[in-house]
Amino acid sequence: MPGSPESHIVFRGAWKRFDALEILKGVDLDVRKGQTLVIIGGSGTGKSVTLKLMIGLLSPDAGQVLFDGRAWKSYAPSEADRQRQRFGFVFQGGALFDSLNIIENVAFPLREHTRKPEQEILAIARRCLESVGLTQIDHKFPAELSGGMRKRVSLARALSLDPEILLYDEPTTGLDPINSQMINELIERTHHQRHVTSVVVTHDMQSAFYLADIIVMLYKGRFIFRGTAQELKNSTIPEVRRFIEISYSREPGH
Amino acid sequence: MAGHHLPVPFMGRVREAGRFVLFLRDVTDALFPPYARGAFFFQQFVIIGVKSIPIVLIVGAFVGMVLAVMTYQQFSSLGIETMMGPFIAVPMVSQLGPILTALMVLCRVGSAMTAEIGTMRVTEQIDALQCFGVNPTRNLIVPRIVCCSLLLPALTVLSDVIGILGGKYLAIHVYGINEHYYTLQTLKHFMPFDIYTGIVKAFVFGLIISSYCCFKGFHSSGGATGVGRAIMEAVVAAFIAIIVTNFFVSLLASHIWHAWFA
Repeated sequence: MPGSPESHIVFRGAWKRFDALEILKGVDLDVRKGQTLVIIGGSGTGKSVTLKLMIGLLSPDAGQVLFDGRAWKSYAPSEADRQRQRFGFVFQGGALFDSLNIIENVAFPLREHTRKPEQEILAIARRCLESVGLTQIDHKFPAELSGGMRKRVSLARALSLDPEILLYDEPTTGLDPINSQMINELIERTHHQRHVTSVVVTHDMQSAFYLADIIVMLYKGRFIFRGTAQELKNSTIPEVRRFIEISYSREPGH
Repeated sequence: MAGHHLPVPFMGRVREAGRFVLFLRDVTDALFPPYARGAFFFQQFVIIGVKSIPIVLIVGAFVGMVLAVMTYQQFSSLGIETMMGPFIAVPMVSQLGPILTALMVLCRVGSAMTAEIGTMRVTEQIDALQCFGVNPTRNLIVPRIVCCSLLLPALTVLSDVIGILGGKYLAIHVYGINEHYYTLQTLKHFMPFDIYTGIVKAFVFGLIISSYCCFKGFHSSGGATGVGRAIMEAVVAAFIAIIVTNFFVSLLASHIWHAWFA
């Protein structure tokens, strides 16, 4: 039921459009504390927009997006900034700051929001990098890293403020199968070790089945499916069946 | 809806104007405390101010000298070469100094502002800043606008000085004009009002360049192509705005001069 006490993020009839293009058409969604919700759907269906609405980077044109029971737009800007510190966001391309090296990127949120001494900040940043399996790259710049490494650094940066909610935007897109599985395992491990709520946007069905407690499918601006991975596999909704079949037929070996 | 019957490019321009007004509102809000870090201002002070000095000096000197060449060509046939001074100094200070300095800063700094902020936008670095509770307008935009608006007048004064000295050097050492009469005529016809006009223009040009170039970068979309298009549109629009604004500020200054000082 949307808006129950254990809900972290709730969408109530949320609409979003860009110019003439309607992205979301009055969607309802409920993200429960501690669960991993996976949002699947084709390219351009509004999955990333949904993530940005969750963290209040975008506002719905109509309807509401509630975080811990309060609409984002009811927060004063400074309060909204404070609430966002409870999130970690792993962007599709990493979104690492080009002008900062890797350790500075991971330390950035700590420097902005804590008064810890520099040595402690660097120690935390190194621990976060180690937790995603990266060492000896402190002084490299983002342009020197592979796509998979950039995503891991992005996750390390997202973990630095010890968030309650982690949002992943296409975490395995553009990666080879081995790196994809490494990222999936990292997301899974992070979820269980840190007891966070995770929301993963993907069109990679392997990732979706591996990670999800609940899967929702976005199609033409509406969620047309909500259920477990098993329920998704057994779904008789034509659009869902077609999405799964095409996803598998495009994988190597099929 | 009536708007649906209007041509699409027209509606696009209206939307763009609306977005620009909202952007300026956000900039105004972000001007007040808590301010961006001093480091951000210092970085822009160096990029916009210090690193622009060599090019401003070179262009200023050659513009002053070419003014001397053209003026001498006209005045020597009339035998009034000693009148050259004010005809170099006044246009240099009130027109060419502010405009050419602004155009140089537009090419060197404005385009880089759009490129840098635009790249940050399309690679989601600006979204990342917001996720970390860092206001991108306060930390990326405000230091650029403040530094550009305040430093362009300073660069313009440098350009004016070097231009006047360049013209004077050519007039005295190449064309052999008497220095005493040259200086006397210059001081006689050269008004502080011309300097004030040039400085006000430079400030306005600085505002135009920084705010529009940052705005175009901030609203970039569509990857590398989108950023490239944003840079082109920002530079062209700011160029035209500088030329048009120069006319209106000159007209206004002329009215003020006639009303209060003439």
